[in-house]
Amino acid sequence: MKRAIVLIVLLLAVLPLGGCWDRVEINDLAFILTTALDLEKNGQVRYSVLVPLPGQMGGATGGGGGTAGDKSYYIDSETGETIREAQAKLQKRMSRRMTLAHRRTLLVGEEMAQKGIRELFDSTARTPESRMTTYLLVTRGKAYDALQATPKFERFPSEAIRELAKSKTVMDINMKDVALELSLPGGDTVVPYIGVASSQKSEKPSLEVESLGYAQFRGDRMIGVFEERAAAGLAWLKNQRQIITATLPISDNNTLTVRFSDGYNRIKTRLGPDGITFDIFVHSSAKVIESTGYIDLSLPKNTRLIEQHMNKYIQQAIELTIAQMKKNRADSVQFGTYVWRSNPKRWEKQYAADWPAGLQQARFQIKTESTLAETGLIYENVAKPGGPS
Amino acid sequence: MARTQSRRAKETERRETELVKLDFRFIQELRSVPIFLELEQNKTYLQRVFSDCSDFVIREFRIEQSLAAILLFVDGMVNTELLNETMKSLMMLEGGEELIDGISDMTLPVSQIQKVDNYADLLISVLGGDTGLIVEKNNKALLLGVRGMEKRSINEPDTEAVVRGPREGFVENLRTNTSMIRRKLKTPRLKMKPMTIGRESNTNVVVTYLDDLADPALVEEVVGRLEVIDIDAVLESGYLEEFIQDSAFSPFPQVQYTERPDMVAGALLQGRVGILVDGTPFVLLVPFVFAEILQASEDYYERFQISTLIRWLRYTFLLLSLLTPGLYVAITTYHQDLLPTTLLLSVAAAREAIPFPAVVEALIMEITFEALREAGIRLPKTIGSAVSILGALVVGQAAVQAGIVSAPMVIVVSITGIASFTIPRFNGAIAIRMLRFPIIIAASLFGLFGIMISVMLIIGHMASLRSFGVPYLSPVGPLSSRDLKDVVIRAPWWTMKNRPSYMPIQDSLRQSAKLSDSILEHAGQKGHDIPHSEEAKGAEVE
Repeated sequence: MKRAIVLIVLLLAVLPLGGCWDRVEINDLAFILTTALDLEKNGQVRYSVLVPLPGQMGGATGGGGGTAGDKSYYIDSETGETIREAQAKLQKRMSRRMTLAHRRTLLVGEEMAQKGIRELFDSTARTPESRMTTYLLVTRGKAYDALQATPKFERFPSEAIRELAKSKTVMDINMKDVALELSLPGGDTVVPYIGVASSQKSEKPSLEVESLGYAQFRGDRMIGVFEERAAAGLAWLKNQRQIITATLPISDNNTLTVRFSDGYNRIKTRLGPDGITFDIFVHSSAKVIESTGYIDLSLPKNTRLIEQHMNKYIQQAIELTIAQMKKNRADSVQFGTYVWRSNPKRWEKQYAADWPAGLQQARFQIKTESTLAETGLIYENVAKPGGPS
Repeated sequence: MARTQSRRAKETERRETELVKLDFRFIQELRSVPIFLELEQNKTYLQRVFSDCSDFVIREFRIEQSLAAILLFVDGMVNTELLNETMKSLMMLEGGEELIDGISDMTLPVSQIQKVDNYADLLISVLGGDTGLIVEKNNKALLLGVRGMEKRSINEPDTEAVVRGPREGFVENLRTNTSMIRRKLKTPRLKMKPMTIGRESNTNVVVTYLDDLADPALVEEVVGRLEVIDIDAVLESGYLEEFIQDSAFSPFPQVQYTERPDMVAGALLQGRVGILVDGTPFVLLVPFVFAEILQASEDYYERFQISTLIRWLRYTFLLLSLLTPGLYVAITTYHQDLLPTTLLLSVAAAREAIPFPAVVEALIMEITFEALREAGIRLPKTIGSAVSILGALVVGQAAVQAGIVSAPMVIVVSITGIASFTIPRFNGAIAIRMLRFPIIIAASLFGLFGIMISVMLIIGHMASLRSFGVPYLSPVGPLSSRDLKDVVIRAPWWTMKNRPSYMPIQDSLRQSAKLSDSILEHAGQKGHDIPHSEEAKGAEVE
């Protein structure tokens, strides 16, 4: 019995002796919500962070410190040879330890993207607390400018940026996807491209974050931007679910705005003696959200007419995308991967060495099939004079 | 060294002689004292033994106006009216009966009567409420069962209230309690073995079980463990619980207690053994397995769907009551990554002004909560509500507003509190409540790793426990899949064909399989098997 007690006391002594090295109170941490990376003129990296200030967020009343000011977050920036060096410099003037575990977006300035983004994937993947599921976004102009946005809906600009990256109108691309596309043979990557726009006609204009399309990369360097219809075509080609709103001019008096929400594609590669042919089949379904002029959507002939216009729209969008890919000599859809999968030997022998070049001679057979799934609650404008025909 | 040893030896010796003295003071001494033939001698002896006992009455009278006799009883423990009737019939006796046998067999209008020939048996019964009758020239005494003690009426048990189910609870009187069980199980198989424990208290203890159902070895074991108890008094069944449990130092209860006769009857039907103790409404039931901590008697009275869901609710909240404060401490001080960002920022905002580390905060609040609960139990009911208001307002609201405790911590403590109240067996809830604190400490030292280690240690300890030979984690570990129907779910009554097989049991069949098969086939009793009208009966004949 006595021996057991001594043993228990000794065992209990182990607990405090073991200590709690990793213990860190929640209010000794600075949670970086987003980081912005830019290139300085002297070639150094500018590393900007956005950190929430829990003291300003209306927690417990009474007591408490925190910095003055009305914003519940704070932005600081530092330069360095490497990302981590800049972060280390930044840490020197922060009373709380910065942690990357809750970083949800990583913004890269346009200049830096043009210089190359491959280096980013080292510092992110090297520590467990920074996640590869972070959304990577390229900003128009300087990345730290995006941190200056003052979105009205969200508490933090980072939250607005993340919600944008997550939304269904933008393809879901995170760092892991980009890393994969960068490392795979035969293909280049795209990254969502955002900018800051001032709200219009508001009493007090705010700076809102908006989606501008996708930054086009060749290798790890940004060389262009897919915008508007080219961006829509990219979504169709990359087989990603994305909500695309399109306005179709049906005739002189009739325009129809439809929303494409569902679709899929099949890309087949045919390697003939005279080069590559890609058979692209796109199926998409849409619903009418607005119609100007009077067009009776209950008539099958009108529906078919609209479906033809939808086909045309998709076809044109895809052609636009392919044209831009050819122009910038970047394979943003990973067509090379399709070739590699269908005939690895020939890919190695003939195309691998200078891949995007092969794209220039390739033929694209585009076939589209559209379904007008819904006309909405009405067939025609309810206020049409003379009632429904 | 030698000196201490000799001192210790002397000490033990002294204690032993004292114990022997204590023993001889009453029972042993009296066992060798026979009832004397001379009435006067008996009277003198009794007066000596019960000197200064103002409640002990020695009533002298004459049977048939000639034969001297005395009645002895404890005032307040006998039914005076009945006793008067008895005396009347004795005084008016005709026929010159002088032998006590004759008196008892022919003349006394008392249903419960017993003959004894020594003082030990006589006085134990008299002190227990019987009336003793000693007659001149007889070396035997009669015990008349004309008890009439003041006792509490049968009330609904406060500790095990139900919405649906019998509302009677045990009382302090042993015989009332045994009768309540007998009323539930009207069978001669229901056995009640009497015992007496406690040198001074001579407490009546009854070991009850169903014959041919409970394992005789188990009954022997229970009786054996009770027999070796040598203590001055047993004032509550808790005394016995601590003596008979398998692992004396475990925080987990290995003996169940209940105030409900239906609970006892249900347990006996599972082959378990009940121990009734005079003077307390709490009946002990053994063996006890952990799964029963989470089973309320009402589970079996309510419909099985809701009982199953409520059981799962209890399982969830059992884990919550054990782990919530530990998880809060571990996550906020080690694994901030695990929380969703917005939740983390809310917690961080709430914790911003708090001067204490999370673990200190958790300990302060949990200990305060325990104190509050303890205060609420002890106080009279009218003040009890005031305490709860005080606790909710002062400790909850004000502490948060003053920035001493964070609001999330108050939520954590509340969840823990609510969770521990969902455990039906109070002694099980106590074990969980106690183990919460080491888990908080482990979480503050090692984070989730510490919690994992503590949980593993607890489960390991539970797996090593036995309650009267039955593994504590039965039927989950060792797994007996047949019995899971009363643990994972509460199967409908008509599917419970067998009694739990992890209990030592002689007869496992609970009901015939015929009806349950029929119910299963038709998804209920649809009246297919019961002929109603004459036509139907006629059709059957054809």
